Formats: sequence, C-alpha cells, structure tokens
Amino acid sequence: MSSLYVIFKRELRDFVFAERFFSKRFLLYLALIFLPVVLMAVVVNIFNTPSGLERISALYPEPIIALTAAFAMMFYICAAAGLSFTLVAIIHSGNFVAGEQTSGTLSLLVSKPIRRWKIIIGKYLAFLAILIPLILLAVGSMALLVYAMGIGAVSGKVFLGFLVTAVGIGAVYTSIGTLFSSMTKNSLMAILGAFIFMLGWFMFDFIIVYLPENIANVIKHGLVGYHTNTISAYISGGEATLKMMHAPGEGLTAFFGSLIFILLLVIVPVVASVVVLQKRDIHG
Amino acid sequence: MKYIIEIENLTKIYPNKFTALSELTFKVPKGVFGFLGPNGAGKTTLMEILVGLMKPTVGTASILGHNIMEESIESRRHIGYLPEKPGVYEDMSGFRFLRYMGELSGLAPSKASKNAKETLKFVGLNEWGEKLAGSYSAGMRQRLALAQALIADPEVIFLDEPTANLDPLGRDDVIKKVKELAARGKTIFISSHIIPEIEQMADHIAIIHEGKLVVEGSVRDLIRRQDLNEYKIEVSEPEIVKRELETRDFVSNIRLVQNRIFVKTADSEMLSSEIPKILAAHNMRLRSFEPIKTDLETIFRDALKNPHGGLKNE
Repeated sequence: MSSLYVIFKRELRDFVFAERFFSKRFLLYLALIFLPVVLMAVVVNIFNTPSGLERISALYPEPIIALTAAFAMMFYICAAAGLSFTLVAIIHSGNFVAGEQTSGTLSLLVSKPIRRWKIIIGKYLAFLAILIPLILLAVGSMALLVYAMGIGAVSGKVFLGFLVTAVGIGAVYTSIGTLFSSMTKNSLMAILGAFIFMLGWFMFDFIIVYLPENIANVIKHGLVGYHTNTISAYISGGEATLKMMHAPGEGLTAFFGSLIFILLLVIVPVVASVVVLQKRDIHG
Repeated sequence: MKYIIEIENLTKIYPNKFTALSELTFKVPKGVFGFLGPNGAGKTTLMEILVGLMKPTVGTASILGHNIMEESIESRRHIGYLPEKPGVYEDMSGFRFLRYMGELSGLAPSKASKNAKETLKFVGLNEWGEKLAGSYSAGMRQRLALAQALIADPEVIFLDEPTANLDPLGRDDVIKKVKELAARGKTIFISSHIIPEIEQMADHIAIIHEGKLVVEGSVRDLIRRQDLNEYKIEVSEPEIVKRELETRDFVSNIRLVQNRIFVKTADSEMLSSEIPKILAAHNMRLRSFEPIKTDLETIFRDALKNPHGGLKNE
C-alpha cells in the first residue's frame, strides 16, 4: 500500500474521529466554521419576525436603509466566514510538521521507508478532503438562510462565486500554514507566523485605499483579496465589480490571471515546504 | 555479508560550524554493537544520520550493503529505530499506533495488524493494546516506542539510549529484550553512556569522544588486551622497586598509589621475569603481583583520558 495513502487515511480518520467519538479538534473546527452560519441565522430571524422587523424599522424608518443594513450585515458575516475558514486552515496546517516535531513523532515517520514529501502531501490532501466539504456545507447553509430571508434576488452564481473564493482562501492559507510548519520545530510558532502573515495581507486590503493610486495599482496585484474578488465577481457575473476593478472587456483575462495567482499561492508554498523538509536535519 | 553497517569517513558539521562527527570510519558486524561516548560525543548524531534523519557533511555509510544516501529508502526498509526521546500519538490506541507504523514500513494492513499484536505481546503491552497511548506511563510509552521499531521485523535495530528514562526493572527488561532479539539473529546498534549495561549486552563496541573514534573492537578482545597491560605489585619497599622499574624500557607507565605499584607494560613476560631479580637484589619480599582486572568502564575511562592512544581493531 502506498505510504501516501497510509498517511492520507490516518490523517483523514484521526482528524474527524477519536477512538470513541469525534475528535475535539474536529468539533472545534466545526464550531469555528459554523459560527458565521449561526450569526446569519440570527440576522435572518431578526428580519423575518414581526418583532425583529419592528425593531429594525424603529432604527431605520426608511425601508431602503433597513435593506442596506441587512446587506451590510450579510457582507460582514461573509467576511467572518472567510476569516473562520482561514483560521481553521492555519491552526490545522501549522501542526502538519511542527506538531509532529513537538510530539517527537517526526523522527519515527522520517526513519520509515517513505519519502518526506509524502508526509506533507498526505496531510495536506487529507485536510482539504475535510475542509472543502465543511466549507461547502457552511456556505450552502448560508445560501439557504439568505433564500429564506427573502431580501433581494438570491443568485446561485453569487454563492458559487463565494464558494470558490472560500475554498481558494482555505487552500491558500493551508499552504501558507504548511510552509511555516515545515520551517519551525514549534507548532505554536508556526501558527503564529502564518497568522501574522495572513494579518499583514488582510491589512494591506484596507491600507491600499490610502496609498497613491500608482503604488496601489502595483501592490493590489499581490493581494489575495484582490484576486479572490476578481474570481468571485467573474463567477457571480458581477459586471459592476469587474468594471470597477478592470478595464471593460478584460473580465475573462483578469479571471484567469487571478485564478493562476491563487493556484500559485496554493502550490508554491507546498513545494517550498517539501523542499525545506527534504533539506532539514531532523533531531529526535 | 561480514559487516552489517559500514561507516566511512563520516563527518557532520552543523550550520553553526560545530563539528559533531569527524572522519568516523568503522564497521559493525552482526550481533549487539555498543556505541559509547560521554554526553555530547556525537552518538545521537551518528544514529540520526544512519536512520535517515540527517545528512552527513562528508563521507558515507551503508546498511546491509545499501548506501544510506543513494539508496535511502532501501536502507531504511531494513531498519527499526528507537529515538532517545520517542513520541507516540497520544490520541491513538497502542494497537492502532503500531499498525500505522507497520503500514508506513511497507506492511500490508493485515500483516501490520498481525505484527502489531505480536509486538505488543513481545514488549509486554498486550493487555494495553486498545487503550489510548496518551494514558500510558513513561515506561509503557518507551516499550510502545520500542515496539514500533520492531513492527516490521527489521534486520537492524537502532536503539538510542533505550534505558535512559527507565527504572531498574524497566532497564533489566530492555536488556533482556535486546538479548532475545540478538538470539533471533538481529543486529542491534545501541548507544548509551551507561557502560555496565552495554557490557551485559554487546559483543562489539566503539567509543567516540568529541566526534572522533577512540576505541573500537570486540568487547572480549579489548578487555583481554587491556588486561595484559597493567599489573598491581605489592612489596615491602615499593619506592625502591618503582625506581628500578622506571629505568626499564618495557615499562610504559608506573605510579605509586598507597604503597602499591601500578605498572603498565607492553611486555608482561619481561616484567614477570624482572620483578624477582629486583626483589632479590634488594633482599625484599613480594606480597602480591596480579594483573588489574579490566572492565568496559576502565576501557571507557582510559579512552577518554587518552583519546589519541585508543585501542582500535587491527
């Protein structure tokens, strides 16, 4: 049996299950990922119950403002969802190599007749095999809730765009966490490093509007947010957003450019972490 | 194959320029091989290179004829490794942990399960197989880690300080297991700084100091060669005999400790014939003349005191 499959199988099983029940780690991730869904359910409840609507009407007498408030809440909940997927990806992948080193099991793995890259790839694929269905479930639940809310038109394309973006963000930060994990012996340091890196990227999304336009135009091409927005806008058919971000007629080119950028952000850190682990001396 | 492990000119220099191993060359025959040295001598570094955790800066080694660099996977297919501070997956039962390690060693799932049961029994954990490894005591974890080294029935087993964290009963148990494994025809490369334990187990030893090989050979030969070297003499007037012996060419070292003369010589026959002559010349009586009984600990201490004049196999 391939050692890659052996590692994949063990990671997949032990990620979800403990000996007798679900693993604590899985339950924690589940809670983190479904927290935005719960928040959305609360918002839906407010907008869908007479007492809730009364409170909103009291706050925002103009219906259009109330509707805008609802959309703003939706926007923040979607952002929170993205953040929760990112956190789960970083916390888990930060343990891939550093966790094994901390627990003293890495030397056992490496002394077995397996190639080192299989340790990383086996763990990476097993995590994505769980994370992607969880994201699908969470985003699907949010879509259902918005549909139930009945404000504005619910487009399948919009949620497909959000879903692809969420999976992309999850995969990118899993790769970043993997890279940090292969560079340090301490999983906490790996998670912290990846978190600070993520924070830096997020911060640039906000800072960029204060920068001179010519500098901002260059920097934005290095930001995850810019590219996930482009992908999301293209899939969901958001012409207005695309026009805002790119010249008319450049939608498809921009979409593929962003897709390649995100794919590179997924692949390059994983390849780099394989190279780092391959070259690294492991001390028992 | 005469030698199971062959180490040639192995040097390891860490990125901070510390030389952990320096031009190490020796061969390990079948049986129990004790790898000795004080703390920080480079024992763990060599073991980590041999099992594939680290790469040497210069030099090479082979296990059962497989070069550890060029045929890394093949050489690791024949080994089991117990690190000095082994970890276990605390969220896995002992049985599942061993089965996982077995599958990673290339065993089919059914064979891995079968071996896991047998190995748990061998290390005395068969009653604990279904319990989480996280609930094991330190000694039990050590036994589980030993079991993972044996899971694929390897021909060569590397044990790094296997008794370091154990109580006396646990140590005895490890020594017994090592002897059992050796009786099954395994080669066990065992590093330790607890010399009496190695003396109980090993057929051959190597001693390293500051990354350099200082002594190497079969335990029996080393003790015999060292035994022939030193004698303890008790006479009525030791100062006179000492003065006399100091003038003889065959005496390499002589010291007087509490009225006893300790003489090192390369020619014990000459010493035996000269002593009566000296005594007769000074009209003295011989109280005792006996070779110093050497143990591995003495060889170890001598080797560290005099690292450049160590005993090595011819």
